[in-house]
Amino acid sequence: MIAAIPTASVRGRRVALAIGAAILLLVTIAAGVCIGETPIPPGVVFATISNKFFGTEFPVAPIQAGIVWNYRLTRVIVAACCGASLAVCGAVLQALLRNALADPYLLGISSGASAGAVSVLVLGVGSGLLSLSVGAFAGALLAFGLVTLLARAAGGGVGLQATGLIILSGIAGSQLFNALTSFIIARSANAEQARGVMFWLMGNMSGVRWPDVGLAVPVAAVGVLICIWHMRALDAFTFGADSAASLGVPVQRVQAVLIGATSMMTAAMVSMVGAIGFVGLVIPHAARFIVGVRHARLLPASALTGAIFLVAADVVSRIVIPNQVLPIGVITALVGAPGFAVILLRARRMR
Amino acid sequence: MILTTRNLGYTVRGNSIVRDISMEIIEGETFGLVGPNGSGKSTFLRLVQGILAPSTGASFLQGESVASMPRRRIAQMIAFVEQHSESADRLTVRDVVELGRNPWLSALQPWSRDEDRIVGQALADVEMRAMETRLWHTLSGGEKQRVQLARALAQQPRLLLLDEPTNHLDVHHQLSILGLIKGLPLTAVVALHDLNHALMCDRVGVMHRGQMVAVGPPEETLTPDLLHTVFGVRVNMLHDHVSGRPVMSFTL
Repeated sequence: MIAAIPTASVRGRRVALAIGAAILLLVTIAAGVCIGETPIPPGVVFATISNKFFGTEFPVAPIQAGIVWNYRLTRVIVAACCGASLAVCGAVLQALLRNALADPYLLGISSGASAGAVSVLVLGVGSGLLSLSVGAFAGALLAFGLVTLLARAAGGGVGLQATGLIILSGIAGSQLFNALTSFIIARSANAEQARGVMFWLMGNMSGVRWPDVGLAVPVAAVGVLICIWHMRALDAFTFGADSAASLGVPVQRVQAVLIGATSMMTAAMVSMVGAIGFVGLVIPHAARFIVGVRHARLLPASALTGAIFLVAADVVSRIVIPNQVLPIGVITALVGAPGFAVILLRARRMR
Repeated sequence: MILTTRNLGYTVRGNSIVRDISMEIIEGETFGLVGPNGSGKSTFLRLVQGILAPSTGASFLQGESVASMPRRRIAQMIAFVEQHSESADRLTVRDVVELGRNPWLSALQPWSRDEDRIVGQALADVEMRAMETRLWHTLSGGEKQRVQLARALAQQPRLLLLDEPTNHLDVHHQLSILGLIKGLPLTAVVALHDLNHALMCDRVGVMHRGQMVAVGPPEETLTPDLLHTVFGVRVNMLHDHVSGRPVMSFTL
């Protein structure tokens, strides 16, 4: 009779699912470190990590240790953080703006980041003092600032009551910064630079080192925790902002905190690895399909699924064509689009 | 007085939607709010609970200014059922009713057995317990209104505000929703379209062009003269021999 109350067995199944996903994430990360142009046996990987973290002295060839420690491990950790952040950002924005098509790049952040990166790379803004990442981060924040200012001005200061406004403002901002990027490339870039920029625009994990890990891990952890902290408020937005307010959510403050948190996460990730499409849009929908729409389950599920998906996509991007690394965005779209089609078709059958 | 408004007004770009309303809602009563389309009923219901910030005046919950109360505490005292509530999410009936516990739960506080009991009781009160696993978008209009009413009851409020809860419902569901509201041991303010439904309330308030032009017991307040001014119709008061209650019939 009271079937919807989670019984012990349902709770047990959920715990099992969560543990299973966490193990899958660890296995994917381990696989991500082992697999590559130079395959490295798992034993060597664990020995290297143990040597570095716990000061053990297992014998490991220096070249292999270098590959594991400086290239693979950093790359896999950043990929996991990035996937988790983008997926959670997507889930949060879809709930907050009540739009199934919302994704982390909605507010012009990725186009701003591209324009910033291109300014540094091609125009030499900052005369060599600014790194690509700093330029991208500055561009992302500039675009985000302009978009939210435009949305606020157009809304006459009533917050985001008409959430359509922020989406339209985001489109305007994205178009402007994309045009700027194209203009700079067309006007000033040589062929070599243009190729480098294009690679970066599609997402690129190859430049990732330990300092990036030092940024990605805290940003992802803090950002995801802020979003999980607001899980009940996010549930309350399902019938709109007025209904959320009548359920006790301080709407304007929650919108400001969550849009701020998602923007910082997205800007940080974009500045390290470029704009990786599809993760923020599709992973939340896939996660909803598995665990339902309530955010207490949806946000952790999105984070785990996003992390696993992006680490796996990175592995594929390294090995699918011998001696060549593809932009990771190509893989996420090639794998993600058909996968999403399957989800849509199965969801339809279940309705 | 559970709710008091003082000179409450709301103006958008020079158009005043609600003007200078000072009134009181008495603990325990069912108060009917009537008035033509666009007379400001919905805006008034949003103003008194602070979802909209008033341009002038203020409202007070048991003497405390609503504007200075945290949203959470307002939601522990007032529950609101909107005219339309649509969601694109795949929510079950129970998910929707569980939202009503939001004002009582802090960020990471776990869901307790008490919560389950309150939600179950609210579902039983509106006779939707058997449908708790149904998906929201498969429900009919009347079922949706009942589920939203259950969600409001799960909030355990002191005051229930309802914006035309019988709109778009067939006559059976109109009467069953109204009977349900009247039977609750709660203060309720209900915006209504049907003047015959207003006759069932303890008191009514008549809104006209943003102002509260009359307040009082329905049979004394809804006079033919007033209704002619406000709605532009002529009213004949009839007597229903079966129910023993007055009934209105209208002509242009």
